[in-house]
Formats: sequence, structure tokens, C-alpha cells
Amino acid sequence: MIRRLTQALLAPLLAAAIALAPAAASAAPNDEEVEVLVQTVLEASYKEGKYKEALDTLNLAKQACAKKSACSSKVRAKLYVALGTVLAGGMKKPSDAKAAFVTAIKEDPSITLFPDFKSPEIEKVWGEAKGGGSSSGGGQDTKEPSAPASSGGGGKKPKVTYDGQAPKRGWRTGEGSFYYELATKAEKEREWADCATYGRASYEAEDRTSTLFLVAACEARAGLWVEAVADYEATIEAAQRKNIRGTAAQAQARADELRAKIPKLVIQKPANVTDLKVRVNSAEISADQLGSEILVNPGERTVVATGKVNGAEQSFEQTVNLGEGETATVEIKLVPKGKAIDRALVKCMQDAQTQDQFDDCIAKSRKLPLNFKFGLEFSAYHDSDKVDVVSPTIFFNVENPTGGWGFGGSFLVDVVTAASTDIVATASPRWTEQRYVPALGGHKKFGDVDVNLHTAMSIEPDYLATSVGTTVAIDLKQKTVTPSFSYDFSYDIAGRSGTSYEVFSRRIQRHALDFASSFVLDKNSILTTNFSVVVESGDSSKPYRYIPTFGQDIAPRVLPGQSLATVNFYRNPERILEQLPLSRQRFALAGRYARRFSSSTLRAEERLYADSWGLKASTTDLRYLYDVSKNVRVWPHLRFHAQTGTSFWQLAYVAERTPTGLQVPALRTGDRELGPLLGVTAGLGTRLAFGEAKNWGLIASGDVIYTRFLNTLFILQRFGYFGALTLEVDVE
Amino acid sequence: MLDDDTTSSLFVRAGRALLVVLVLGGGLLASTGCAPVAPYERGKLAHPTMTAADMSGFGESHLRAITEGAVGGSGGTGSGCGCN
Repeated sequence: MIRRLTQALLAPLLAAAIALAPAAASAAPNDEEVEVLVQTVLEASYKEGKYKEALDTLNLAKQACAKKSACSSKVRAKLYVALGTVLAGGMKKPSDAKAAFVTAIKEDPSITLFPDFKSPEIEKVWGEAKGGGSSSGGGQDTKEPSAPASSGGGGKKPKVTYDGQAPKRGWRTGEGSFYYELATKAEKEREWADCATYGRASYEAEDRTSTLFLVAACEARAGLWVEAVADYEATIEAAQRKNIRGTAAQAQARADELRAKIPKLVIQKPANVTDLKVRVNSAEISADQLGSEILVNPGERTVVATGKVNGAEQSFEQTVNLGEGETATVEIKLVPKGKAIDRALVKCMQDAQTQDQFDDCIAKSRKLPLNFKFGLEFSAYHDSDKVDVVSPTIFFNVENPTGGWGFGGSFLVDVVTAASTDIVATASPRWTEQRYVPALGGHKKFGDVDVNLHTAMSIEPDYLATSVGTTVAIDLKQKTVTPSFSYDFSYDIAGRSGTSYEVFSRRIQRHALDFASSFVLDKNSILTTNFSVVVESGDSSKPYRYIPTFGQDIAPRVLPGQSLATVNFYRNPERILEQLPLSRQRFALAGRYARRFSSSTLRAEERLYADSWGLKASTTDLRYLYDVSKNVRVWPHLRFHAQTGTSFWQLAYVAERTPTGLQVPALRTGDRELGPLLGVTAGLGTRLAFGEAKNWGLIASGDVIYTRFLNTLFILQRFGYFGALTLEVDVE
Repeated sequence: MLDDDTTSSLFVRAGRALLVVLVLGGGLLASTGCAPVAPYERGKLAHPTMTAADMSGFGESHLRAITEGAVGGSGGTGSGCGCN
């Protein structure tokens, strides 16, 4: 009972470790879970002196690795080292511990003790196990940067030891000649680690410069580049001392060549942390090395850090894979130990009757590799022309980063009430209307090609729009260039409110093509270019919009901004409906530049636009997003928009009376957005991250939009006020 | 309703603009090849504020569509806003 209770208490720690385990893919299916179990047991039960509990839980983990394919050798070795540690350091059973250590070494000859869980008695048993363990002894693991060169690849115990043989001709010591012979033999057999080990043993017995050169050459080939450079440097020094110029020059050339290839690791330490301990592949990193470039050997490097934040112990682990000449930066982000709660896994493992049931526990506990995003946006708009809009929107997105697919959707509702000058001008009352906009989309990656399909609708009492589209994007040049092509088709039905579409409707078709490409310019900036073409056909004239017309003699005297009363006094009495061209081709060329600084981002966008109606426009949008702290971001927003009117735009349309009736212009509109105008937007926004994992975000933004109409009736300017509040959450 | 000359002239100009985009794009593509950004150097590029897409929310995008006479250039068009 107590055992079950204690293990149940362990569950939160286990679950936390599962949640916080590095995302790197494991070699075998149960690797991640078993590594978490091992780490959790050592950090919780073992540290607290609950050795029996620790052993029981490790035995559960052992069961998880029962099938050979369930765990990799490295993880199985780690598990047995943990078992040995508990047996030697806690249960005081050195013989059982030795057996566990021997198994660990057999599984992975390069395995080492857990640096945080060493004690003299554990090290003693470990030493005994190593002595009787794997004969391969010298693994391929590399020396860490802070260690001296002499303990490098050549620091391993030789497989074959000197047994008093006489020195060969030309040698002063038997040991020196014995190991040198073995080193050259290993070199011929391309056993580079053995070559370095024997060479080192020979050099320690008899300090020949040529032997040190051999050690360095073998280390270089074994991937021990840091050690090799150090040994080449030692060779240069020794050769210069002995005036062997050729060897010195050769060693210098090789050291220079190797130095340029050595990967570098930069470890950034977190703020406000005490007792910070950082290790790279078990080697401790001193405080002064943090933040600067540390030379490391190529391959996987695991950075493990522990420290206290506000007195609470926290930890961090990240593995990076470094290749030739690469530099990686690891930012230590300490997280509390034992945070999340999932008692189910340990309970399930304890209750399992068969291995299959046991395996099922792990399978079920595994998180779906999905990222979910949900959100709600509420926006509102009000302007000086008595138009009000409120728009709540709900949206979601599901993404499977490993599978390369995702889907999402949104649902927006617009509630518009308007009593604008134009409505008053046609003697219409204030009206209120709702619009519903559902949208769905999904994408799937096929190698470097991402295919997206999307659809949307817009439903109003007098207008129905439907659209479908696809976007195909391809990652080129290691994802630094991503061109994309989009095609959207939409089919709109415009009608009159209260009248069936069968009685009155106009059909509008739209084909939109979009050619875009994003370019990673450098490690801080991205440029996106875009060219879009929209081809519309159909009559989009508004069936409610009446255009005032004037006599030939009056029209030139009508002034911009003329009042409603004056216009009504001078205009022709007939009510003439708007008439727009029956087709439109729209072209936009845009560029978007984003640059990330240390704690801020500048975004600048420019769009040039022209269409077949003669409207030309330029739009510039600027945002500077500044991270005030980890959780708070603020940004000012500026936008400038300038456009000419359409070619058929007129302040006062002339309609002449003729014997056949009133002669009106073929094309006419009162839509101010088709006339010349200037718009300036200034606003502010902020995003606040909150929640335990900072996965909640609250975004508030507000804009004031000033529009200057350059050649319109009734009004010459408009002040618009837009605000939006968005709540979003990311769940992994 | 506009005369054919105006429309065809626009298409010619649009074609030229597309050509400029392709040339600039090709140039950029070639130039970025000289200084590739390794995956481990892309921490800043992965920041949420560095998205290649438009950052406007739903309401803001719709507002632009009805208060400005220009559309497009935002990386995706023709979603059928149905604005009238």
C-alpha cells in the first residue's frame, strides 16, 4: 500500500519529466519514457533516500526495456547505471550494483556514471565493473572542452597492457616501443581510438615528438578534434624545442586546418539564477565559459543545467548535433522539476499483468504530437459617419509538426449598423445587418512541398459569397527560399434584402492568382515578395446606391464636401442607381520585410496597386514590436494609404434631359472608396502572455484611422476608431 | 466598359511588374545562396513576430478591405469577403 502510495506520489515528477523531456527523436520507442523514469527516480526517490521505491520504479523501467527493440543500447545502459547507483549508493549491495554496472558497460561502453549521483562507494564499484566489464574499453566519446588534452581519446585504458618486454632497437624504454608498435598497428587497421590510446601510453613512457604527432593524427581521425589540436600544438612546441622544423610545420598546418573545422557551442545562461551548474556531455563548464564560444568535438552534445530560481531547484537539458565548422547557441531555460501531473502512467505500469499491457501503458501515455491553438477575437469599429461594426470571431488550428499536416478554421460574425450620410441621402432609415463568415483550411507537406486547400463563405441577407482555393509552397535552398503559388476562385451572388435571389440577383466571379516568395536574407531578417492578380467579372454595382446627378450648368459649380441639403436642392429629382463596369482586373505588387533585433521586431510592408478601373494606390504599413519583458510585447502601428479615383469617378455627374428622357453617364458611382483619398492610421497594440506555461496570450490593439476624401460630396473626412481584443491559447 | 486599349495596356504593365518580381526574386535567390543560414542560426527567424504572413487579425483585415480601394499583396487573396 505504502509502496503504491509513494509511487503514486512519484507520478507527477515522472509526468513532468515526460512533458519536459527533449523533443529530439529517440532511437527506440520507449527511450524517452525510460530516460524520464531514470532521471526522475534519481532526482526524486533516490535523492530523498527512498531507495526501495527508487529500485521498484527502476525495475518498472527495466520491464519497459524487456523487448530488445523497445529501448536503445544507450538508454538501457543508462537504466542499468541508475540501478547500480541505487544498489551501491542506497541499498548497499555492491555485488548487485557491480552486475548492473557490468550490464550497462556491455550495452554502451562509453557510458559514464551520473555526475550528480556519484559517491566514493559508487565509484569504487564502478571501477571494479569497468575492470571486468567490456573489453572494448575505449569508447568513442569525446573529451569535453575544459578537460586537459592528456585525458582525451588517448586517456583510455589500453586494451593490451605492457608486460615487461625489452625495448626495440632505437628505443630507450620497452614500454614506449611496445605501445608505439600497437599504436601503428591500430593506425593501419584504422582503429583510431586505439591508435590514440596506445600512442598516448607510448608517449607517456617515452616522450618522442613523432609519437605525439601520431596521437594527434589518430585523435583527429577519431573525431576528437579538440584534443587533436591541443596535441598538435604540443607537438609544435616539442618540435621547435628540438629544432625539428619539418614536423613543427606539418603539425602547424594540420592544427590550423583542424581549428577552422572545430564546432563551437555558445551557452547562454539564464538571468536571476543561483547555484547554476552546467555540463556538456558530463564535463562541467565553468561560469566564465558561459556566453563565449566553447570548442567542442563534432556530434551530439548534451547540455544539462541545474540551478535555483527564487530558491526552487530547476533543471534544463538540450541536445544539439554539431557538424564541421558549425556554431550552436543553447539558451538555458530552467524549468521547475516535477511540475505537471499524470499519475496514470505509473499506476497503469504497476497494474499491468502482461508485457503487452505494460507496453500499452507507455503507448497511451505518449502525447499526440499535435499543437492546438484556439482563440477568440472581438473587434469593434466606429466612425464619424455613424457606422458601427462589431465582429466576434472564434478560430482554431491543429498542427502536427512531425507529420507535416494541419488544419484550422474560423467563424466570424459581423454586426453592422449604419446611418451614414449616403443612407440619409437616399432617405433610408438606419439599418442593421449580420454577416456570417465560416472558413476552413488544411495543409499537408509532401517532402519540401506544402499543399494547402481552403474554403470560405460569407453569408448576408442580400449577398452570398463562396470561395475555394489552394496554395502550393516549396521549400528551397534549405528552407531559406519559399516560393508559393495560390489560386482562389470565388462565386458571389448579390441580391436585394427581402427579395428572393430568384427574383433579383447578380453573379460575380473572381479568379485570384498570387505569386509569393519569402527569402531568409540572413539570420535576422525575412523578405516576402508578392504579386497578385484578381480577375473579376459580373455586375458589382450596389442595388441600393443612388447617385445624385446635376444639370450641365450646375455640375461645374458643385464643390467637394457640399452639404446634403445643398445637393438635394440642386440635383435632378430622378434617382439614378450606381452602375459599375462589368469586369475588373486588379494587380498588386507587395513586399514585406521583417527584421528581428535582440528584443524587438521591425515589420515594414509596401503595396503598389493598380486596376483596370484606373484606380492606383500605394499602401505602407509599419509595426515595431518591442518585447518589454518575456511576457509583455507592445507595438506602435502606422499605416499610410493613398489612392487616385477610378477613371469614371466624378464629383458631380451630369445628366441631361433629352426628348427621349434623362441621359445619364454610362458608368457612375458614389462609393467613396472608388474616389481619390488619403488615409493615415496610427495605433498601438500589446500582447500579454500568461498562464503557468505562458501559453495564453491576450492581445489588445487599437487604431485611429483618418481618411481624407479629396473629391466627394457630403463629407471630406472621416475618423474611424478600431479596437480588437484577442484571447488565444497554445496547447501541445 | 473601359476600352480595350486601356485593359491591354494594363496587362502589359502587369506583365512587366511580374517580370521585375521574377528578376528581383531570382536575384535574391541567387544572393541568398551565398550566405546560407544554418538551421541552428534561425532562432530569431522562428520568433512569432517574424511570420511571413500578414499580422492583421480578422477584424483588421476586413476593415482594410472595405475602407481602402486596393486589395491583394497580403500573401493570399480572394477569400470571398463578400463586402458590399
